Amino acid sequence: MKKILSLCLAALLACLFLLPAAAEEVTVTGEPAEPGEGMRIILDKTYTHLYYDDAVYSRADISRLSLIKESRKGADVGFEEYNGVEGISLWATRNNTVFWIDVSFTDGSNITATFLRDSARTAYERLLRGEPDKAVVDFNYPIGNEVNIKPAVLRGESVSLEEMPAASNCFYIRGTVGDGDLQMKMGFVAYLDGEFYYVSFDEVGDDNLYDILWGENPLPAYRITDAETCAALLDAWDAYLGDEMGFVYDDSLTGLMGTFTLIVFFCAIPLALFVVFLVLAIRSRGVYRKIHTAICTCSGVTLAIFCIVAIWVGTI
Amino acid sequence: MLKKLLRYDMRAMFRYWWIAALSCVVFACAGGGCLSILLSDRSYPFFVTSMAGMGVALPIFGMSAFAILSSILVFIRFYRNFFTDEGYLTFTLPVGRHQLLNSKLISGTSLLAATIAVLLPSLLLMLAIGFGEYVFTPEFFREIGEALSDMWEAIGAWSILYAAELILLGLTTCLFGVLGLSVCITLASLLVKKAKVITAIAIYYGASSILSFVMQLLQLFGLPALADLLAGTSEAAAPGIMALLLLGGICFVAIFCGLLYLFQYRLLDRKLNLA
Amino acid sequence: MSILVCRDLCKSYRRGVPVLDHLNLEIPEGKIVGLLGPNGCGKSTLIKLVSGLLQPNSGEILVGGHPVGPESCAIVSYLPERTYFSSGMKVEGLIRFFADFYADFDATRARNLLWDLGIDPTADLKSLSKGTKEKVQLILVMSRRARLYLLDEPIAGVDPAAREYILGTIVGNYAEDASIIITTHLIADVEPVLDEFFFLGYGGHIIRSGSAEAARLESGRSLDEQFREVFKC
Repeated sequence: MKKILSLCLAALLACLFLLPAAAEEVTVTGEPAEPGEGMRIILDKTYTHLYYDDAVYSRADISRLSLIKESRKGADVGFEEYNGVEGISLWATRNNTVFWIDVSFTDGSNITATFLRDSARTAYERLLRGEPDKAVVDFNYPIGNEVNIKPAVLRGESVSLEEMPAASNCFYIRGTVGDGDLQMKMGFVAYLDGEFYYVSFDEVGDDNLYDILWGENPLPAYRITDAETCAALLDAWDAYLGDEMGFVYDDSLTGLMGTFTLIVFFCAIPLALFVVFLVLAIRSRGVYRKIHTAICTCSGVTLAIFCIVAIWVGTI
Repeated sequence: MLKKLLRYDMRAMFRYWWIAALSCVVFACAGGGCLSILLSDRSYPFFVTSMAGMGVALPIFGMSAFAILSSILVFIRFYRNFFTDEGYLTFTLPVGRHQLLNSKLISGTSLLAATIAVLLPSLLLMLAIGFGEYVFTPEFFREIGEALSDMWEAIGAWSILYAAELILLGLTTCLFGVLGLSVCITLASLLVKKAKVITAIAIYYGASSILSFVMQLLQLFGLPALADLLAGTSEAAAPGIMALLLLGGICFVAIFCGLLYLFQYRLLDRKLNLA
Repeated sequence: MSILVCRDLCKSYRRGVPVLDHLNLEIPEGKIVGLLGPNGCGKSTLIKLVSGLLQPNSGEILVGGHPVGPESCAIVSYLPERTYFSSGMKVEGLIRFFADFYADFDATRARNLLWDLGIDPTADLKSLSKGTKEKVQLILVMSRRARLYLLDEPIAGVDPAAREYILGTIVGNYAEDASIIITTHLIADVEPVLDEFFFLGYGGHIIRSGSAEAARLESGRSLDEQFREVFKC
């Protein structure tokens, strides 16, 4: 009994001593990154600066960073009560370059803020200027099919595309800086007539792929000429087509299937029906002869039209 | 004799169709009115807006029911006149089997075509009443007029030919639908003694599924190939090629109509056992 | 001359079970012929083959020299054992229907016969009783100036008074040069009107045929008694 009482008293005294010395700060404790570890973040009372692990973070607008990977969502974080704070939600990027907080107060108001590490600010501004350390083309399929490109090789030969590439042949390219926590979609790489082209969102003035592809003006682009980069992109493109998808997305195979389908439906079937029902019409009598003749005629006309169109289109 | 048969078939098929068509138009007007209440800037009592909210859905159900009813009317006429006790009178008339079949097909196709002719304007009427003050403004009609005159400038008299070919394609497709229904009913009547209607519906859905699969293949591979084929044509040749392709489409559907007709006629001529 | 000729007629509904097995039959003009036999012997099947409702497996049927088709249907008036009218029609509508399709239909006679029975021509068919519908059907069939009348079980399931009316209508309204084929197993009622008869056995085999009067004189028994003797169970 005495021992239990002693332990409780010691715990109470420890809590008193561990109260934060600065009454102007909110201490937020997030989920541990590793078992046994804790994350202790300090916000100043004006919510303009955040302190973590000897680093200082300041408020920043990161709305252009569309590919931030989030980790450690701390929805149930603990915090020491301060200034009417009711709840705090906390997110961070993998390497803690960016923090998000959402603070709700007991009076019903809330603050949402993002904080960028001061030491990463220069790299961030470089990314916004379109000078990333690395460019990554994501081919979407299969998972992990990405190609890292040196940003310098993106702007190869400047061209103006009259023919728009198909949307299914366009793949977003994202620039990254530093440890990869900061990423931004810079544009897309398009595969057209056997060549790869880079289109920059900044230069086009739009970041919506479909709006760009549906535009009426020629598309300013850069043909990627670096051989090593083109080879890597081609490998990724072949992997993208793959065993299952290639059946549908391979242009040459699709074209062949399309031609085959047209020939079967509008040439082979009508021809076969024409011959069969011509023979039947000759040999039958009465109503059956009329029906056979009608089918024979329709088949013949369909076949004739197909041949006329094919010849006409072929000769124009 | 065909004219006489047509007269009786049309009278039988259209007897209840008029009521359904009128109801469809009334539903469309009511739906349009409900839509305009919901979109209006004026504030209505809660009860009125609630009823208007429910009323907007009614025309959609009404129009769908009207379309289904038309198919049912064709189905019933075929079934009753050929495969029930009425068949004793039908098949002992001094007319050829092909005339009996032709009469049903013509009246069935007319009914389906008339249904489409009522459905589309009903839908437009509902939208006109509902969105009228927001969409159907003088500017809207002016833009429609400009678009039409642009089209006339671009393709001229070809547009009349296209319109005629599209109508013909529509009629041929309706005929194909009616033939499909009739073949399903005939097959069901020949295959089973009881539950003929359910069997006919099952055959119809089975055949529709197979047809859908084939059409998907055609769309997936054939259409892009056709588009590629036409992409290289000159502007001067494009209208003519388009007209030819539409005619080819009509003939293509007509081939399958002919095959179904042959199958149906043979079943009625050789296999019919009205016991 | 024969109005109906059947040569080597075969019909079966299921494999290995022939209803009519190589039937040969000729019906002369201007006679009332009874096609008599037990249930399931093929009487109705033969009638339906002649009227075009069934297709034979093999053999030939000639009606007035025509194969079964529109030409034969124009000269054959068929009364089935069931009512075959669309219930949505009125009696007058049926009269117009028959007048439209059958050149030999006498609409005036039909209206007179209906008047005699007290049937309102403007009445809906679905408002009439089963017996009245059957009478309407009989009147319409017998109002045609056909060359061959096929009456399939015309008096089955009706009361004796109605049977008398039906047989009276049949006899009183057919053309002298026309033939009537009546199928029935109620021989006693039709025997007085029959000129000729066929006893049809299972498989459609003709067991006995000939003039009804001659058969009665020869055996000293009625056709009904002869039928019972032939088809004794």
